[in-house]
Amino acid sequence: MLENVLNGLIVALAPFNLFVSALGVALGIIVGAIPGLGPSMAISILVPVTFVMAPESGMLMLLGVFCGAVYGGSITAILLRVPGTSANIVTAWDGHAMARQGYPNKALAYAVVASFVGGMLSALALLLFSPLLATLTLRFGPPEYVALAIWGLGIIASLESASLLKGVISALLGLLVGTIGLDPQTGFSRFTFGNVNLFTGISSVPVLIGIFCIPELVALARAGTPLRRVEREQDPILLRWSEFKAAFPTMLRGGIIGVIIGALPAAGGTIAGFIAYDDAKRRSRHPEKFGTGIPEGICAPESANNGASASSLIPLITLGIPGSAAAVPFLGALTIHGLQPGPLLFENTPKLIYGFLAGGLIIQVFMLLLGQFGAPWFAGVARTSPAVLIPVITVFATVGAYALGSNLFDVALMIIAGVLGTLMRHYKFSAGAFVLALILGPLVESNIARSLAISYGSWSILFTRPIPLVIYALTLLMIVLPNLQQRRRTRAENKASA
Amino acid sequence: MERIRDRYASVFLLVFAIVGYYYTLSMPARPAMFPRMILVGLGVLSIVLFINSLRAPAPSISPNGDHGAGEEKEKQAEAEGFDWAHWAVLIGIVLYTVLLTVLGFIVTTVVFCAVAMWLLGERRWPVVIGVSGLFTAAVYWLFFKYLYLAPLPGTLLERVFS
Repeated sequence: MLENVLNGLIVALAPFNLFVSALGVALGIIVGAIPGLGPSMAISILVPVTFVMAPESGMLMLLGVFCGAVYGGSITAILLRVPGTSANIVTAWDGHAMARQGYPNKALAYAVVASFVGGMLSALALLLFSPLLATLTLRFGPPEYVALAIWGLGIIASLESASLLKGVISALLGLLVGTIGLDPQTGFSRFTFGNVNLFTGISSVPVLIGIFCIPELVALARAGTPLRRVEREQDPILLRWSEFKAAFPTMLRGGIIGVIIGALPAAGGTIAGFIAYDDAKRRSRHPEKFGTGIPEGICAPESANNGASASSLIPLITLGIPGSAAAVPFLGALTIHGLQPGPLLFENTPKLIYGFLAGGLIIQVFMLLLGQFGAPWFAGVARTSPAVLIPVITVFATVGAYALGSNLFDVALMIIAGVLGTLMRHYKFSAGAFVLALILGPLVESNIARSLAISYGSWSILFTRPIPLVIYALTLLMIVLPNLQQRRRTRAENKASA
Repeated sequence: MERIRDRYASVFLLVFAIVGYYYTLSMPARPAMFPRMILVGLGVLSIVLFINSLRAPAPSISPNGDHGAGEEKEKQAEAEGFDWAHWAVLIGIVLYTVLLTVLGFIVTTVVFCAVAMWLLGERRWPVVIGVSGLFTAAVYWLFFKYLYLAPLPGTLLERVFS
């Protein structure tokens, strides 16, 4: 294990990998800082670009974007009270308050250090736990994978949409679209209407790009105005040792919360931020100060949302289930390199995977450096007007969708997916569940088929083995509990207002 | 508001599920199994959705997944529905794609970027020209040189440059 890690570090420290890691972080911070652009969008647009790189380089770049974006959103959250990504909503509360009191750079310093702590914890968790989890999955057979897929879909469906019902419908739609093409078992062409381009099914990357980018573009177009000028401050963005010591426990706790939540399928940085803030407030000796600009109000959510970044890839590379919405494009990245998540990834290509895992640590360092020294510059970039952003992103998305297959049909797919994405937003369905189901669909079907083959046609095999049962129980728990809490909360609110 | 939309959506989904199921009748049993399961599930759930949309409003929910901007803006945007922004972006993309095949990458991209920026409100000359030009060059290099993509049905301009 240690040997693997050291080999991985060597891979991660290769000049090109260092370059793409840093580039990814920089791009990520820019994207994160611009409100309206988020990590899922940036990552999905960059997936085609990773096509020519070695897989680990591509993954490192994407991870850099991910981590950078989650931190970058704190910049505008603090300076302008506009969160750059949904994971920074909470940071805006105390962050901007502190800025208005005259200490914007102090707030930025807290944010970057907290993000670093959280991110490091996340990268370490990724490095240490993935191999362990991967070996666990060696015991997994087809029925277990079916259970896992249902778990992942169930959780994304419940968290990402206006209602569990719509989330499941979104997932079913995704599964259905996933059946388009030649049936893997019999070779019969389903729903292809004779169109040759559909024989191999709907490729996920154009759909990813379309469904995540186009609705954002539309929202950008609507929003219209760029951000106002940002006030500069004279002090450097630096924390004093005493301040760091005082804030460190909060950062640590926030980070751990983030790591755990991130690793759970479908729950990501946004939720982690809220929960960590809540936790810090409850543990604090002066909870009433939260919201007025105290350091803990910045450290807890920022460390949590970065904590949730790398760790959301743990279930992705070991089980194939994304730990958060932004992790979904990573599945696409693995696919285009012909890689499959799971234990084989660790056995057959250890240099690749450990290079990636070790690189996660280095990415955090880049993030710290770039944030520390570059935050004001990034803030300036964040003021780019939508008028410039929209054409740029449009071109990038279109060319990206074309890039993989050198096929204009993929561009058409992207456009259709974009329309679908807008429709889903409008009617409050879950685009994330749809895309995840699209990617997982073929897997679910083939594993169900294999399970039935093992059991000679008996469906009970899916429900009578211990591991699937545990997973199903977990799924039910994770879906039902939040809904119950919501209902209790609304009942209390209704009583209060009555 | 949301409930009315739900009603339309559920009806559409139900019809979609029925049509889909009808389509699977022409498939042999094995390949049809999975799609049929899905379509049945879709049909059932769309009926449930329809029934729900007739009842009282449901409690509102947790934040969206990890993509995009602040919540307030999103809620506001959602409320406006299919407006000019949506159509503009879509038509823009389709136009861009079509023109790509006609005029080739370089010309189309430069012109598209410049015109789009102008239409969207950017009036600073140097920015419009500079960004269009530089960006096009950068993407051209990245996708067509670095990634060796098959060039789009090109134009004389491209042949001059290559």
